[in-house]
Amino acid sequence: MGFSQPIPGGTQPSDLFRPNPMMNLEFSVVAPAIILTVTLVAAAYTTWNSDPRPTIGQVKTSAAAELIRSHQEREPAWRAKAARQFPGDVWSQDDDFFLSEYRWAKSFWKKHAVAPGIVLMLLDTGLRSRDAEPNVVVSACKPRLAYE
Amino acid sequence: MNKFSLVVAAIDRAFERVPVRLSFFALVAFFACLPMFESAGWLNDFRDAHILYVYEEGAVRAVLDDAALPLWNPWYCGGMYNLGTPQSRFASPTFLLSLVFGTLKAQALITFLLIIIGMEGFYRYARLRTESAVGPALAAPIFALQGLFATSYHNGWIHFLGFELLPLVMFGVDLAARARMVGILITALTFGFIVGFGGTYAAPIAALMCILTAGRSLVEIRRQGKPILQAITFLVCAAVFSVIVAAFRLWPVFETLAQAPRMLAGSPGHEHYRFTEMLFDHAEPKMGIVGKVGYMYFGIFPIVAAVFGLLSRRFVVPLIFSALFVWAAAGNSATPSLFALLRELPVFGMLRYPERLLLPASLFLLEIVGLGMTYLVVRAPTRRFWAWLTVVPAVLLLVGTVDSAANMRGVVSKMTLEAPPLQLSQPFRQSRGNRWLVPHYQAMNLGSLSCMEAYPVPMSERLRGDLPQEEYVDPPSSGTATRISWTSQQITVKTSLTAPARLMVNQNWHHGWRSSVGTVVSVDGLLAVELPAGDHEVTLRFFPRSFWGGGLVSLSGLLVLLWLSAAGVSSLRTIMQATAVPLVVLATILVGTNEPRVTDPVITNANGLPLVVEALPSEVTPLDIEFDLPIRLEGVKLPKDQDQYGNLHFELFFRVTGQVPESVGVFVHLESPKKKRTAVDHLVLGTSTTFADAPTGVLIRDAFSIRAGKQPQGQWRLYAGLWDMTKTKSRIGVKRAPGVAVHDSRIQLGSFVVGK
Repeated sequence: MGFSQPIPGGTQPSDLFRPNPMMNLEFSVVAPAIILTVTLVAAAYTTWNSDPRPTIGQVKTSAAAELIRSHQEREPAWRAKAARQFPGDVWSQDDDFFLSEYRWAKSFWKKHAVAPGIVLMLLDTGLRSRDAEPNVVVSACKPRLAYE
Repeated sequence: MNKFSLVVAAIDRAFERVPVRLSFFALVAFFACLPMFESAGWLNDFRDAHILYVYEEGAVRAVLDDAALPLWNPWYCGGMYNLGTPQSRFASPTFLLSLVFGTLKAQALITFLLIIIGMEGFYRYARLRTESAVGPALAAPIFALQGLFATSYHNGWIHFLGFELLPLVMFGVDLAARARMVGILITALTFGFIVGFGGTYAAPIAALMCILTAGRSLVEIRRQGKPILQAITFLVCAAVFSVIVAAFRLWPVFETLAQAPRMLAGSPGHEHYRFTEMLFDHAEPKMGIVGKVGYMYFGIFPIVAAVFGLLSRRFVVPLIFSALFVWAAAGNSATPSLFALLRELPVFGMLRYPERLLLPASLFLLEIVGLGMTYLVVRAPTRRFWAWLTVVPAVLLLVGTVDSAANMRGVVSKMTLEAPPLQLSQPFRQSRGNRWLVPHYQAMNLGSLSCMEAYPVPMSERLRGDLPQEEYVDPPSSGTATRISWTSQQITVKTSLTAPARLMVNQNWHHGWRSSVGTVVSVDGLLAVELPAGDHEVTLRFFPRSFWGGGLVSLSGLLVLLWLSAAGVSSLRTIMQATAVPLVVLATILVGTNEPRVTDPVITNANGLPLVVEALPSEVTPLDIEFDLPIRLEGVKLPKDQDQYGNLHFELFFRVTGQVPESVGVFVHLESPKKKRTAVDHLVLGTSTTFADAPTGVLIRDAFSIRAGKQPQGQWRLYAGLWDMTKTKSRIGVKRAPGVAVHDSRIQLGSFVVGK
C-alpha cells in the first residue's frame, strides 16, 4: 500500500470508489505525465528566456564629475535630515542617509539611462578621492525595535 | 447510482493517481506563476529582496566561482556567516536551481515547485482523514496559492515559501504516529528542508503544527485501542531525527543569534479580529509595497464547502486548531493573548507579526473544506439532490483556485523591477556601499558596509570603505602584506615582517576563521592574525565547527534514518538504539574538539554607547533611588545644550538587583515651561534589553533622545519613574529617593534648557 492511501485503522474509501467500467483510466498515467513534463519544461524555458534587454550606457566625463561633486555637496544635508528624523539612533540615521542617497542615485541613472552599477562605481571612486576625510565608516547594524 | 455520481467517482479515482494529481497541480501553479517566469530575469527592487538576494548570490558565487562551500559572505555588513544568518536559504535542495538558473531566475522556479509541493503535501495530509480524493485535491490549490505566498514573492521573501511544506511535515507526523518508519523519514527530511530554507517563522510554526498533529494522532490511536506507547516512541524518534537532520543549520543559526540576540518591541495585534480586508480583498500593492489589504488573501469561495464540512463528524479538531491560530493571530489585542503566551516559549520570541499565524489557521480550515466535499461526494450516488448539491462547492473551489491565482498574478505584476546588476570583474574590496542597493555592489565585487538585518549583526568599528588594500600590516612600520589570492571563503596573503605584527583583514572577525600561520584574533571585531617576524604566506580559511559539526551530526542521522527505512526496521528497540548514533557523534564533537569561545556581544544603546558601564561617567549626576521592585536608579545625565541638529540627549543609569516582571518599563516626562508634557516612555532599556532580561548587579545606561525642534524655549523639567506598561498600567512605588522630589511615584530628576 502506498503511503498516500488512507492509513490502516483510519478512513477507508467507500465502495463507491471501487473501480468500475467508467474508470478505465490507463490514460491517467501517460497523458498527465506528458502534461506535467510540458508544464515543467515551459516553466523552465520561460524563466530561462526572461532576461531584460541589458542597459549599460555611459556617463560623460563632465556628468561623472558633476555626479561626484553633487554627491559630496548633498551629503551633509542628507545627514542632517537623518539626524533630525532619528535623534540618538546612529544606525537609523545611517539608514535614512543611505535611503536619500539611493533615491538620488536612482534618479540619476534613470535620467541618464545607465546601469546602476556605473553610477555606484563613480560614487565609490568619488568617495575614495575626496580631499577631506570621507565618511566611509558605517554604524554597526542595530535595527530599530519596530522597523517598518 | 446515477450517471453523475459515476462521473464524480471517476474524478475521484483520477485524483488518487499521482500523475493526474500532479499534472493538475502543476497546471494551476503554472497559471499562477506565469508572470513570475516572464519577469524572472529582473531584479526585485524591494528592500528586503535585495538583502536576501545577496545571501543566495553569495552562496552561488562561492560554489561556481570559488569552488568552495558557501559559508562566509564577505559582500555584506563587512562579512558575515552566511550559513548562520537565519534568512539565507541556500542550505536546501532549491539551491541547485539557483546554481543552474542563477539567483534571480531560480526564485520563480523555486516558488513554482514549492507551490506544487504545498498542494501535494496538503492533499496527502488531508486525504488521511477523508474518504474521497476530490475534497483534498480541490482544497489544496487554495492553500498553496494564499496571499502570504504572493506577498512573499513580491517582497523577495522566498524563504517564506517554506510554509508550503507545513502540510507535508504534518503528514509525516501522522504516519509516524501510526508506527510507519516512512513517517519519521518524511518528517525529518521536510523539517530539515524548512530549517535549511531559512527564516524565523516557518520552522517554529512547523514544530508547533507537528506537536498539534502528534497530539491529535495519539488521541485517535487511543480511541482505536491501538498501542499508544509504540506511537509515542515513533513520534519521539521523529522529533529527535528532525532536530538531528536539521542540525547542519540549527547549530550555526543558534550560534549566530546567541551572539547577536534579536530584540523586538511593541505590542502587535489586530483589534476585534479585524482580518477581513487582509483575507478577503485582493492585494493591491502600491509604490512597491503590499499593504494590509490582501496580505494574507484566502478568498470567500472555500467557505461554502467548509459549511458542509461542519456536517461531518470530524470537523471538531481542525476547527479548534483553526480557532486557536486565529486567536493567536489577533496578537496582543486579544485578551488573554495567546500570541503573547507563544512568544514566551524559546525561539517563538522571534515572531513579530501575529497575522502570519492565519496561514496555519487556514490550513485547518481547508481540512474542513475537504471534509465538506467528502460529505457531499459520498452522498452523491444516493439521490440526485446530493449529486447536484456537490457541484456548487466544487465549482466554487475551482473558482477560488482561479481567484487565488489571479491574486498572485496581480501582486506579481505590480512588483517594482530593475535591470539585473551589472557584473564587473575586479579584485574584492569593501566600500561604504548602500544597503538599499547592495546587489549592485556585490555584482561589482564590492562589499557593502552599509547593512540592515533583523538582528544586530556583529560589525567591527574598524571596517573602512576606502582602504588602498584590504589586507595590511599593523603597525605599518613592521612590514608589508601582499594579497596572493582571494576567494569569498579563503584569503592568502604574503607578509614580510621585520618585527612581530598583526595582519589585518578588512572584514569582521568570526571564531570560525582559521589561519595556516599565527593566531587568528579579533581586533575590535576586525579579523586579524598575530604573526611572528619573518616572511610568511598566510592562508585564512573560514571553517567553523558549527558547520562541520552540525553537518556531521546531520549526515550521520540521515544515514541511520535511510538505513532504518531501507531495511524496513520496525523494532522499537533498534530504532531507539539507532537514534543514539548521531547523538553520540554530537557528544564526541562537543567533547573532543575545541574552538575559540564565542565572545559575548557588546550590547550598545541606539547612540552607539555601551549599555553596561562599570561606573557612572564623570558628567552624570549621582542618584540613590530605590523602587518597590529590585531596581535602583543611580544616575541621570541631562543635556547641557542641543546638538547641531537640534536634538537633546538624556541618559538614565539603572541597576537591577533581582527578578522584575516582564511588563515593567520606564516612564519619562519632559515638561515644558508651560507645563506641557512630552512622554518618552519605553519598555526596552537602551533599545537592547528589558528590566526583566537585564543582567543583574551591573550598571545599565539607558540613553534616549528627542528632537527639540519647535518645542517651546525655556527651562524644561525631567520627571521619570517606573510603571507596569502592559498589565496593570500603574506606577511602581518609590521606596526611597534622597535629595529629589517625588510625587505620585514620579521623580523630578532635574531641569534643562531648550533654545539658545
